[in-house]
Amino acid sequence: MSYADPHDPAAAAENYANELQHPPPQIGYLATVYAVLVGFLGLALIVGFTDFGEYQGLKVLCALGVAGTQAAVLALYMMELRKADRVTALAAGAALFWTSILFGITLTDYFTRHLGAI
Amino acid sequence: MNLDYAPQCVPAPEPDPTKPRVHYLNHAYGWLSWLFTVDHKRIGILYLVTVTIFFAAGATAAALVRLNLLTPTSELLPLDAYNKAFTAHGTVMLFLFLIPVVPGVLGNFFVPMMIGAKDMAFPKINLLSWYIFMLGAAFFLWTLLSGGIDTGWTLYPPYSSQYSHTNVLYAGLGIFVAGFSSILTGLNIIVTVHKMRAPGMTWNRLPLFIWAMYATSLIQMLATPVLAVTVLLLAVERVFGIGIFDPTLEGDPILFQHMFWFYSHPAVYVMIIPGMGVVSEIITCFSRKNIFGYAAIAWSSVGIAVVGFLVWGHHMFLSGQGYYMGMLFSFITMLVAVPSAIKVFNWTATLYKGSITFEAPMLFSLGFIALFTIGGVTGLYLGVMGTDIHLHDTYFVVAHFHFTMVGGMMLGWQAGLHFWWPKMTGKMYSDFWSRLSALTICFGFFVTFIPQFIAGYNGMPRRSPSYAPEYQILNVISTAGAFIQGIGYLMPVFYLTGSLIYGRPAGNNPWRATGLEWQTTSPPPQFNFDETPIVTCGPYEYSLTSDDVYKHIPVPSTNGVHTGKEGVHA
Amino acid sequence: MSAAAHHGSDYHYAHHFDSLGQQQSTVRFGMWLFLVTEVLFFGGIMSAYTVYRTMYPDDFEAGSAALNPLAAILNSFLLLTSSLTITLGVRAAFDGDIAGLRKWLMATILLGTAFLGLKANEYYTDVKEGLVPTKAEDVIEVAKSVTVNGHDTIVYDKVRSSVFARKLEHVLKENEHEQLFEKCNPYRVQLFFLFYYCMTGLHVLHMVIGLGLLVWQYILAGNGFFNFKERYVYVEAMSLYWHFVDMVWMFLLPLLYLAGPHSFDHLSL
Repeated sequence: MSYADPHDPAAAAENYANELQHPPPQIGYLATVYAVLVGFLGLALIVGFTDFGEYQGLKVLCALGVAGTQAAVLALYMMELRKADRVTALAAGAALFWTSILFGITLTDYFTRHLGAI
Repeated sequence: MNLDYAPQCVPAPEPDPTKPRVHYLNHAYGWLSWLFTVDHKRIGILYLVTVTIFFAAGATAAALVRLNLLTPTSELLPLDAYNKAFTAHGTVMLFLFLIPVVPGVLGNFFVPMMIGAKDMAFPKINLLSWYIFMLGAAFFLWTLLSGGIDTGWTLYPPYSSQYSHTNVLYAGLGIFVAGFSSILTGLNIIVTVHKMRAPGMTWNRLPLFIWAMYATSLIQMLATPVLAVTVLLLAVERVFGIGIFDPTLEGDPILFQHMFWFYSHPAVYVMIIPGMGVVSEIITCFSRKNIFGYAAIAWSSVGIAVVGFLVWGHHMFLSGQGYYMGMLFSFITMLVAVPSAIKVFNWTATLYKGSITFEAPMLFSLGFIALFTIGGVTGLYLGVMGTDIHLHDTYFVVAHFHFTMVGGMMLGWQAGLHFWWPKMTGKMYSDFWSRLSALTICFGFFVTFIPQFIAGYNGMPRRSPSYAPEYQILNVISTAGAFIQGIGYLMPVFYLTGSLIYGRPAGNNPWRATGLEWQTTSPPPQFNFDETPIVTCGPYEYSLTSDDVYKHIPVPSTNGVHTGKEGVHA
Repeated sequence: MSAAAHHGSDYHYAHHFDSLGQQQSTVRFGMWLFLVTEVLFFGGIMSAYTVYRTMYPDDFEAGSAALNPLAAILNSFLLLTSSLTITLGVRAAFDGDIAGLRKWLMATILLGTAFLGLKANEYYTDVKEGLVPTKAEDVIEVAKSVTVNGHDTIVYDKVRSSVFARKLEHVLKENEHEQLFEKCNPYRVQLFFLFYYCMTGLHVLHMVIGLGLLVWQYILAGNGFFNFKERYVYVEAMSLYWHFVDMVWMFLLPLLYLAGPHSFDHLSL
């Protein structure tokens, strides 16, 4: 976060005072989010107990899609990522980006290993 | 007062030498005041003392290895003891010295000071991370005392997981625990840089050392957890005799290498970016010129940190990883050379037509540029798949990474230590001995490692206690160079320690440098600055006078907060 | 203007901050960054899981089918509810409602403990059923019909047999998934179980640490630490960690328990 006037400490204090303007959410809001999360749990169970037959790969993708959406709801609405400042959002994005590097490059090796040889 | 350079904030007056002064070293006394301190400066000193001891331990192991290689037939050490010696050298130097040294000592001490903060964002966690580091070191000590390990620092299974008869478990725990110290230090530095900057310290006014520490911390924070979980899985296999890297269960040992290098390749940048940051500070100061290409150097640090995560497979060209993956990794490896080269070009351009003086920090820094460039360029030989097949696991690799880690980070660390020693202690060390030390280390370094390039190129394998007799002359030269280096490293122990007692007072700003840390008294007061500094210009205004800068600045507002000293603006 | 005057309380932020807002945003951001490292920590083991899952899909399904997901499903529900209760605790701390804070912290602690109880019972059942990776082998006798001198007769061959494979076969038969046993390689199924124990074990470790911190905050709340409303941010940081642990479980449920075929007939605790 950069200061509005770089030579004025008072402006710096003002900047941080805004942080206090986000009180934690009220019970009604939280109950709604909770209901949505329980709904996603139900969806996860439906996917989990459905027999996809030969399309097991599809089942994995569906299950992970449900879990990912559920986690996103939790992060955005219960952990208040939605209202977080830019640098916090950046941190969350960095976590996803670096995890995708880890998954992406490692898996690429396993998917392409059989393709060719020297 | 008009200065011929423009400091980032109004300098504090020199204290009256006849009056006793309270500063961070003497405001409290006794062991407990050190062991329970939450002052980032004292924690920095704790790191300084401990990593110096670990460096001595790692250097002893190196001396054993080099002595053993004097003869082609391994006369000095039994074969398994040789394995343990080079593993001890690798693990101790990497995990207990190179990774914590600059973030732990200079990062802790100077990140808050250079951004004008009173302390790190989380002072207690900062102390905790030193204790965790010591716990990790205790595991390493235990490993060494209970017979050492012989797997090499890379701990590749299935050898390390099931077949090695040495104490891999405790070494793994040491890596795991020391890793958490690394994570916490990195986290602390990132939060500090984001949240604790003084008024006026915008991102474009951050010293390049801060940018480098930020990039380093990013790597420490994002990569180390993966190593932690990898080592944990290795420990499971070690303890229960069954694990996920176990080929008898159709597990894949190469997966360990992927996960290990996901950390360990970025970690080699943890071992170089801080040195680059230090050198960026020193080159500009001793050239009396603004840095050339501030933004390029700053963003190339971040660039190395990010691209460094995409190249780990170049350690695995011959491991059984896929052919196309090797091609991809080889290509991206070429990319990571770009930001490093950007830095070297910018330092050189900074030197151009500067008013250069050759004090010890500058000699170390110039040594850094020369040696790191050689280390970096030879890295490209290894990043190309074709040449790597020839050079893989030879002394060429050993020479390459010593050129970057010793020639780079070790010299960078020495440069930083010599640069900031007067600020940390308030005392100036011997000019003659420090310059002699810098020259000795650089000379000894060339003598040690240039022969290893030749031996490796001709096929001498690494990690082998015996070798073909035609390599003996090269190895004898190399060992001689190692001992010249050793003398060079011993010198600072004496003249720096001696300076604490006999050194002349350094004054607030012996190098006439512009950074915030130089504008307070030496040694700094307990909370770094007597008044919150207000930053008025970029970090390296060496070619402007202070009047040039200050006369364009409006007098700060005076609504009940610190305003700095208005006198200079009058 | 000092932050204390802003809020009409005597609370003083730590010496190295310039304002209360700076301190609070620092605490919050610090916890978020810590969670980033945790994402990479669990990301490491999950990427290893994914590698094997894509290489050995049939074996991982067989392993999952041998697990009993009922406890895990109940645990998902408990953890979701505890995420709600701790957030209500943050609200109570922000409002200065110490009794409410203690109530919600206690509720979270109880839900977390119930989770661990169910998990312990589940581990106990798994071990009892023999679903523990091992290289142990027994010598067993296998009946074989041979023709000796024109007579059909039965002889018993002594063969080495994996202890784990026989236990797995037994459990899969009980769950009516024998066909999965035919398709799988029991050695690879052991990889699944190694992941099962390591991933849930790490999750349990995080739960235990979280419960310890919750108990600590519960005690602090009793000692008047949270009488300064400004300190609600520490409960908020705690809640962020707790939500993260919940989030990890959201992925463990489909990856481990629901990966294979299951039917409602065989659910049990």
